[in-house]
Amino acid sequence: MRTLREMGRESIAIYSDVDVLMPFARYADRAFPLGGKEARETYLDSEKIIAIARRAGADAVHPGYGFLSENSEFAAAVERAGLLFIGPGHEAIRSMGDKTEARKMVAARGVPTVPGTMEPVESLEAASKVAAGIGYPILVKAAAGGGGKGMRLVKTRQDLESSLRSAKSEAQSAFGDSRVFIEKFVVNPRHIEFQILADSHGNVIHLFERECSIQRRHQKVVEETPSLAITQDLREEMGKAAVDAAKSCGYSNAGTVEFVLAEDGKFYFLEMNTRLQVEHPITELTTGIDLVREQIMIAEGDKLHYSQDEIRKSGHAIECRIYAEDVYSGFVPDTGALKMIRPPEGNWVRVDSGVETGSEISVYYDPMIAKLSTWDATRDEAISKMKRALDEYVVLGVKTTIPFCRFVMDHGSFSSGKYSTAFVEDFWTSDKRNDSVEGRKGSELAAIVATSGKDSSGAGSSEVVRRSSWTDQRFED
Amino acid sequence: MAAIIADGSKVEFEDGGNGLFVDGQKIDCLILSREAGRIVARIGDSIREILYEFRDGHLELHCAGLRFECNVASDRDLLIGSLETSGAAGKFHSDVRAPMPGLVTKVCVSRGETVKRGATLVILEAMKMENEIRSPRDGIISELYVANGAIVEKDQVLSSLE
Repeated sequence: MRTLREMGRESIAIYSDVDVLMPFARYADRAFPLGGKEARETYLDSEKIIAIARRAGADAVHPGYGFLSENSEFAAAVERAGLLFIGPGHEAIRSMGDKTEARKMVAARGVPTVPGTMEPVESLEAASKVAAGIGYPILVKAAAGGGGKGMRLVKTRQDLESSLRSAKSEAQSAFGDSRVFIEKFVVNPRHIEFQILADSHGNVIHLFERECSIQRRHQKVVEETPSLAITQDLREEMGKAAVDAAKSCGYSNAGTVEFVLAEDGKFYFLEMNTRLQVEHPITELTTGIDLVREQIMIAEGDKLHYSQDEIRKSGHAIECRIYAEDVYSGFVPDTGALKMIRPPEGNWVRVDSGVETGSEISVYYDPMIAKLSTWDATRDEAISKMKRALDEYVVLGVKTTIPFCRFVMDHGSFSSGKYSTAFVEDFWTSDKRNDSVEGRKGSELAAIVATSGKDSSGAGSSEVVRRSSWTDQRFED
Repeated sequence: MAAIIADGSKVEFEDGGNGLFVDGQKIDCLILSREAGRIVARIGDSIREILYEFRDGHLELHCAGLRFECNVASDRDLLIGSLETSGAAGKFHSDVRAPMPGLVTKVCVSRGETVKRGATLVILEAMKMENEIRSPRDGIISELYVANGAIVEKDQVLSSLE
């Protein structure tokens, strides 16, 4: 919406009952209620959304990066309604969204894929046979999936049945499609993805990689670009593979080709995300290209404004995702009201946040609070800036991933660049809290708060607070 | 005398009328401004803003890049706490609680059923992820508090074991 405003275009927001007070709803020039709370009766209800778009006289629909953004039927319905879909054609979404079909398609273009099944597996027997063939550990993945939903890591034959069942049922509820397939699990892989831009005239370029190996529950938390894991030669090779993958389905608009990079330097196509990614800011920071603006102009039929040779990257960018989660108890989502949120500021600190003080983090949608990105000339400086920005990010009322992100920034494995998707498993334990110096300082601050007089909100009127007399005396001094 | 309890360790503080003492050491502090959730104070040679959330004896604060969470307890709280933990510990472990808020999509056991440790009791959907809530030990389901489709809060008791 910010990009639209800069381009002099009008923006229209849609919102559920839960989100009526969210900043995005009032940022938009106009905003329309979807009615309802649950995702399926609001942001997943394509008929409602298209009806609003038509009634409002919209020219185009931007699907964002969750909900219906990778739903080919929604894209097709938008096109049928005579609106521009700011994203790829529905055929490309459908074929890339079907993970087994995508694997076949890109493999035909010579892009390497992970060993596994090319077809969905039906029965436990079939799955067991395939798994035995490629060897445990394996991944069971939803054919229609993404974002780690409907995905299970299976280490032994004993776990196969329950993993298969839960992956199928999760896939059914998340995507309305219970088909799953099996892939070899690459041990200690790095997750490297390439941003691509394609126009509707057959031109495809890539905007370099993003390193997304720091994950929990197979979902990314920290991303950076460039990656220390790939050489310039490998970057060019993977970039070419990414462009080929996009061409294999006649792709247009912005998209991301995800690869796993094995310890031996081999890389495999994982999937293509047919939408803008959550982590797109770091590519914008290093290339200086507004991806949303490119998306809009591509959707309007423009040719790409850059050739591959004109794409330059400079410096280093890092993104930390701030989720409402309790990182000390297995990253479980936390909910509640944000009593206070105050984002960091300063040069080359970017905050993409949809919430503000008073916002409610509900059980209905993903618990993301913000994306915090920093840029600097070198990686070390970008890390220092990120540490500073994380420390200054005030979030009270819900638990967040900030302490975890801070831990990552401090960790030798991250600063050396030698980390993999096993980072959380290898290094994170739930007792990584305040060290003793900080604990001591924290206790002093807590004592100051506890004795500083009755909290005017009334919520914290404990025995200690009520009988405090010390601060009043100090004021009289 | 009162105490701050964080990460299992206890720090005592005292507001004696002639200054604030933390573990017997005097803290040099002058409150400059005070409002709900925010204190500005001169602490030692620095001016600091303490932003905090204080509810039910639990304090969460942020000050100059430092995050800190603790419980603040008076003498009486400490005494009550020690009485409670002595008798109730065994019983508490028999309750299976929701680790996060969410929607119960499936209850996999019934009342009176004998379960093994690790058996799936309930499937809880939160943020579109399915989580299998498993039995912490061998036992018999003495009570089930939720049914399919129930929306539960974090720490809500789902089932009891005996």
